[in-house]
Order: sequence, then C-alpha cells, then structure tokens
Amino acid sequence: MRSIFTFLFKQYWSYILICILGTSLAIYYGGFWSFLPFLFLILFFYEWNIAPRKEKTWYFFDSLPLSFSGRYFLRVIIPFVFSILIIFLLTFFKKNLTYDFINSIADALRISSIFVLSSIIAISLSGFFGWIIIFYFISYLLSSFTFYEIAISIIALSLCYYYLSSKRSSKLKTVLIPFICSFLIIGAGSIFKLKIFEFSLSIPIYSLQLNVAENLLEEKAFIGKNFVVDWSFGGSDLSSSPLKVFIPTKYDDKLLERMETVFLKENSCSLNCHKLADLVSNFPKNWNQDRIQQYLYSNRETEQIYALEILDGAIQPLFFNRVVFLARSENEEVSALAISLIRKWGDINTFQIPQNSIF
Amino acid sequence: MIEVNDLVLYGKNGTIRLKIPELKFHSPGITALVGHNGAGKSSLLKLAAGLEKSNHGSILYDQKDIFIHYEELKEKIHLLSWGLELYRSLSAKDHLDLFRSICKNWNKDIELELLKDLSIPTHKKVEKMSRGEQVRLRILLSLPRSPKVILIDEVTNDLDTDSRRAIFKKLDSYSFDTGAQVVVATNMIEDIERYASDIILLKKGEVILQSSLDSIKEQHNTSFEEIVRIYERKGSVL
Repeated sequence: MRSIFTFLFKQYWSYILICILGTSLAIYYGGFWSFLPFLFLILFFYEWNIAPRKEKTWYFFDSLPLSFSGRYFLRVIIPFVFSILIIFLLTFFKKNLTYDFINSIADALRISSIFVLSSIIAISLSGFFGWIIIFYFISYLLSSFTFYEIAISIIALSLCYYYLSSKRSSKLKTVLIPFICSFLIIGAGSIFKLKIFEFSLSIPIYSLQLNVAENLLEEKAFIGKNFVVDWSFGGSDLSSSPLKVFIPTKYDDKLLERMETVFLKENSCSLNCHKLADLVSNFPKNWNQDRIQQYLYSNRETEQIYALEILDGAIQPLFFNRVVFLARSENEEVSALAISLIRKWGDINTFQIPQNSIF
Repeated sequence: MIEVNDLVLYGKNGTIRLKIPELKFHSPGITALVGHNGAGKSSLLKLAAGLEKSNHGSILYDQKDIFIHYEELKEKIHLLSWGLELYRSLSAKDHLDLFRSICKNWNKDIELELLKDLSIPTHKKVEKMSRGEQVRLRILLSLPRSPKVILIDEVTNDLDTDSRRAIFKKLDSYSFDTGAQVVVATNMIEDIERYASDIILLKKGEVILQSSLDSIKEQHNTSFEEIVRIYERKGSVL
C-alpha cells in the first residue's frame, strides 16, 4: 500500500496542496474566500476520478493485482475522507460563528458524499456539476429528517461501489439493501429522535451537548404535547378574571435539569437560556423550587438571570427577600429583572390583598 | 484458451457492432486480428479483456465468463491499448516501482531481460517518451507478471520497423516460452506475415476468416494482402 500512496502522492500532490492552502485562506479570511476550498475540492475530485476516466489512467490501477475493495478504497474512500477533513476544518473554524463540532461533521459528511458520488457517476466536468446540483437538491428535500446526512452517505458510498464494479456487483447488496438501511435510519431517527438526543446529552463533548440541548429545547422535549388548563388560581373577587395555569401531561424534570446544566455552563445567559427560562416559566405548578432557589442563590449571574426569568411566571411571590437582594446587583440585567419582578409582585399583592379595607 | 460463444454486441444506436457465433483463439503464438476501421477489433479485445459486457453470449477463459470473473482473471489477461493510458507526469521508474512492489508473481529475470532488450529510458516521464518507448514500457509492465493472454490493440501500428520488430520478437518468444496467447489487432501486413501464426479476419463485426497463416497461404498460393482482399470480397465465413 505504501508504494501506491507514494505513486498517488507524486501524481496528486499539487491538488492536495492547493486544497490545504485554500482551506487555510478560507479559515483565515472567511467571507468570499470560503468558496475557494470548495472550488479546489471540485478540481481535486475531477482530477482524481473524472480525468483518469477520460484519459483511461484508472485502468492502470484496475489492472494492478489489487482487490476490488482495495481499488474502492483508493478511488472512493481516500477522496471522501480528504473532503470530509477539508470541509470539516472549513466549517468548524469558520469566522464569526461558534465552533460547532456536530454541524461541521454533518456538513462535511453530506457535501463529501455528494462530491464523491457525482465524481464517480459523471464523465465530464459539466456532468460533474450537473450531478452535484441534482444530489444537492435531493439532500435538501431530505433535510427535514433527522440523520439524513448518514443516510445520504450510506447511499452515496454504496452507489459508488455499484458503479465502480461496472455494475458487476449484486444490485440487491449494493443498491437495494443500503437504500432500505438508509430509510430505516431516517425512520428510526424520526421516531426515536428525542431518546437519541437524551442519550447524546450524556456524551462528554460540550459542543455536542449544546447542539443536542438546543434541539431538545426546540422540540420542548421535557414537556408533553398536551396541556391541562387549571383556572383555579384566579382572584377571589368577582371583578377579576381567574388566572390560567398550564399543566403539561408530562414534565420530565430530570431532562430539564440536564438541559439547564448545558445552557447554564455558558458565561452569560444565551438566547437558548432565555428561551428555556421563558418556556419553564409557563408551568409554575411543575417547578422544582429547590433548584430554582439554588440558581437564585448562586453567585453566577447566568443562573440568577435564568431563575429570575422563570420567576416571572410565578403565581405568587417566591424567594422575595433574595429577589429584593438581587435588585441591588451590580449586573444591570440581574437588577432590572429583579426590579421588574418586585413591581409585578407588588401589583399582585395589591390586587389580591387589598390594603383598603373598605374596598 | 479464449472461447467466444454466440456473442452479440450492439452499438449505441442499436446497430450490431459484433456478431460472432463461435470463435476460439489458439495458443501459443501470435494471432493477428485483421479488419478495416470499425470492423470490431477493439470492441472484441475489450470484451475479451473483461472491460465491457456483451449484450448477448459470452467470452470464456478456462470455461469462466471473463466479464463476471474479471477480478480473478485480470492477472491472466492483459490488454495493451492506446485507450488505456499510463500516468503522463510520472516516469517509467515510478510505474515500474509500483508494479514491482505490488505484483507478487513479478518475474525479475524477465524484467531485466526486457530492460536490456527493449532499451527503455526508465527515468524519462511518460509524456516525454516517444510512442515506441511507451509501448515498450507497457510490455515491460506486462510480461514480468506472466500473463496467459496478451491482447494488443493496434499500439504497434504507429511505430517504426525496428521498434515493431523488437516488440514482436519479444512477444513471439514469450508466447512460445510460456504457452501464452498473444492476440494483436493490426493492419500491418508485413508484421502479420512475419510473426503471426493465425489470422482472424473481421468485417462489419463478423468473422469472415479464421485460419492458420501457413495453411491459408498454401491454399491460395498468393500474397497475404491478396488473400485478405479475396475474403473481404467474398464476405463468407469459413
């Protein structure tokens, strides 16, 4: 194998080098330069798979005493892995964006699969672009499904196997079964999505946890889809309308705690943290007050903000002394939230326990 | 031995490119595959090398379908064609190193003998080599792997007399030394008369003559060129 790698390196070193240089430029400058590695990758795939077919140089490799799997590794797996590496680096270190491991891997997997399959099927540069556009469109149609990137990769690699064997290999094994497996993955992904996300929260990779927690928040995973409305928390007088309180059919406090752990690790209360607090504040009957108290009495401002935003949904004042204390906080957001709560609770008190005995 | 059974190959527009009910290649020795451009020589050789699939019928080697058993048979059947190129920016040495390290049955003696007899400039890049040198390099990359069948698709046609002579002499001696079969698609009458032991004449995808060269010459008592003309006019299958 070493001699094959040496041979291929001598032939393709310049294309590999421009891909690496292009990626470095794209990471460093960002913006318009981000297109550069993709153009170079297209050139690389063209030189690796399409030009040798036109010039018939891959027959030279086909004629070597290498097994079909060995040739498949050379023609498909090597450029596929190289492309994954380039696109992953590009998306992971992209400027002005937070580093997102999972999204970068998913993008790299999807785009590399499209590139490698297009390069195996196409016989000219225009055909290569045409296939890329077609496969991009198909992947866009599938993009609403969970794990569609994995399904696309399986289909692309198996179709490459089938085409590379000059259609000698079994259609059942290399086309039909991979298609079925891919659709099973998509189906299972959609059905067990939340379970898989919950499981992924226990993997100790923070970017993964953050991504999963975001998805869980998007799906409102810790609460059931149906709610019971409790009207009993109304004012005692006839002139006021009763308060409406939602009680979900399911409230997974353990999952909520794990999501909170992920979001509250950040140094400030992010958009996700605000979103979660806003969601939790709707269900005061289900709150874990010990934990809210813990956040409220924490020294970390992220946790204080989160707790204060939750308390905004409180039916009656809770941890009043601490909220009053936080109103004097040096952090403007904390103090503003606390003051807003005190004002609101003041209204509730006035409303529920009228100071004027005649009224 | 290669056997063709009931072979039919259609062109893109549905025309028949090859229609051969039965054909056997005899070994050892050089079999000349003769016919005008478009007669189907290259198509037949590609099918015999397992690179293409026929629409009907099969080509067998040792009773195995060559297309289906391509992986197993590709070490035994080598095709040398201008359509199947070497890496132009790499040298003969690069190619040779790769083959030496990968091919388990690489015959070092044959390699040294060929290097001596064919005088191949090993440090030259393929793109800098003449056509003759490239053909000799292809033979150098093929013969030490001890193929049982060598299919040559008109790669010798553009070469000068000396180069052709050197190559055919080598192929001829290799064939008789090892019992290998050599099939050469060519229209060079001089080469056929000098080196071929058998001839297969193709016309519009059909075999119109298969015979040993000596017997056909004896039968007609005329030049080989004239014999080809006679059969092409007749267009009959012998």
